[in-house]
Amino acid sequence: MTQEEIVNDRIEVAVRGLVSNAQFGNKTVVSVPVLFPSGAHAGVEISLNGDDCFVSDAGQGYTEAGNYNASDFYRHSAREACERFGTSYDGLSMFVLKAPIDRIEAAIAAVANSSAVAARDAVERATIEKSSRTNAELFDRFLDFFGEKNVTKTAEIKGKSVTWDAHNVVHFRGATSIFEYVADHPTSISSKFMMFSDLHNNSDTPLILNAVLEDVVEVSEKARLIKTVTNNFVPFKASKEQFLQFARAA
Amino acid sequence: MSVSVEEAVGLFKAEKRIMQPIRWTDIPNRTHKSPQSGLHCRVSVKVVTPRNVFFRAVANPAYPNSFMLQVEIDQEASRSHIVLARLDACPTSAHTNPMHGPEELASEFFAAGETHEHLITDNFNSDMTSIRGLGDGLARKIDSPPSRFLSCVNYFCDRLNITNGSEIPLPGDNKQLL
Repeated sequence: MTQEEIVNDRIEVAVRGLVSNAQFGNKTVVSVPVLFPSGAHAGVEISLNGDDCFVSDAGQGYTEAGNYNASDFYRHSAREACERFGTSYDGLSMFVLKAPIDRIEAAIAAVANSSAVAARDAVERATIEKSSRTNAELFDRFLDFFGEKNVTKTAEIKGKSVTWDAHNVVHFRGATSIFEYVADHPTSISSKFMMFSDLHNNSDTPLILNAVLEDVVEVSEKARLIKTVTNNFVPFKASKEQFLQFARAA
Repeated sequence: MSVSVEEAVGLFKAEKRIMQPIRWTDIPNRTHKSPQSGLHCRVSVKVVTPRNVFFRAVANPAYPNSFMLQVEIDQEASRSHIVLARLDACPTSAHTNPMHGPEELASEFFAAGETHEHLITDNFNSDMTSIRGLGDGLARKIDSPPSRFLSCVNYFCDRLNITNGSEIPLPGDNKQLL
């Protein structure tokens, strides 16, 4: 065997290793050399969907982002990646719903890349973002105040129209309270206003809605709008006793 | 402040316990079907429970032999975690180590299905004064890799000096806690 033949054989082995597939019931998982930040290759799940194929990352991008505490940033990154690669996103997985079998290569590449790009962007954002007084910090304090069994870091709460990921959900003395941090920034105010409005209008589930602000005395005009759809404005520096009171004061 | 090498090594070696509640929860998508379940708990170190050390596990019922176990540290200066250690059991995709790092690990390739571990002790910069990336870029082969969930938990907990790994229920099975 010539040196060239040896090298060619070795390259063939390498290529076969870089792209592999395995069968799991009615699904095939293809591993492709598109790398996540951890160095994991993207795994793309393929199953039949009528005459076409359903091609999905099975939530791998979300999991990879979660490994670095970047889940909160993933949704935004995933939407951007979907637009770029023409894939779809269901809140967990990136997918192509109906990929023609004769174009399956494009769907595999698009799903693998959109998943990896979204995870990478989310991790980069989480790494750049400075920790600040946020819901995460409130959660740490609430664990002490209310006990681990009574506090949930994030929970899906149904509003009148849609379901929201609410932070710092406290179950205390028969009442359910939400303590959502609101930064004095138009984006934060408008997104929290939408959430509080929808939750406020859902009379099926009585909730105590608390907007936590840095300063409840000098509130900006825009932030004051939130007052109309919440029960309480809570100062971030409130004491344990004050938080306990807000958790039962509708 | 980011996590120092000394702090990472100290945490890696210290006796640890995973704190209750240790419960699997569904990770739903928009259709509320749950293709994944996860477990996220605080970890106590010796006699204290620091606010920045967590145990995480992710499983997917469609791939019962494939799951991930991880211990992670919150950083003060950033939102992202540093990974203290992770076991990727029978992953559905491959893993490639970067080209840097110790000779025995640099550019190592792990095929899909090959159980491997990421240890922060393999991910220090060459001068050993700082952590490279987020602590998990380089993975390591396991000589006799565990195969089933419970044996993987035992292996991982032994590695990390976690004393109560037996309290972790099987993925999706919280009944034994009741």
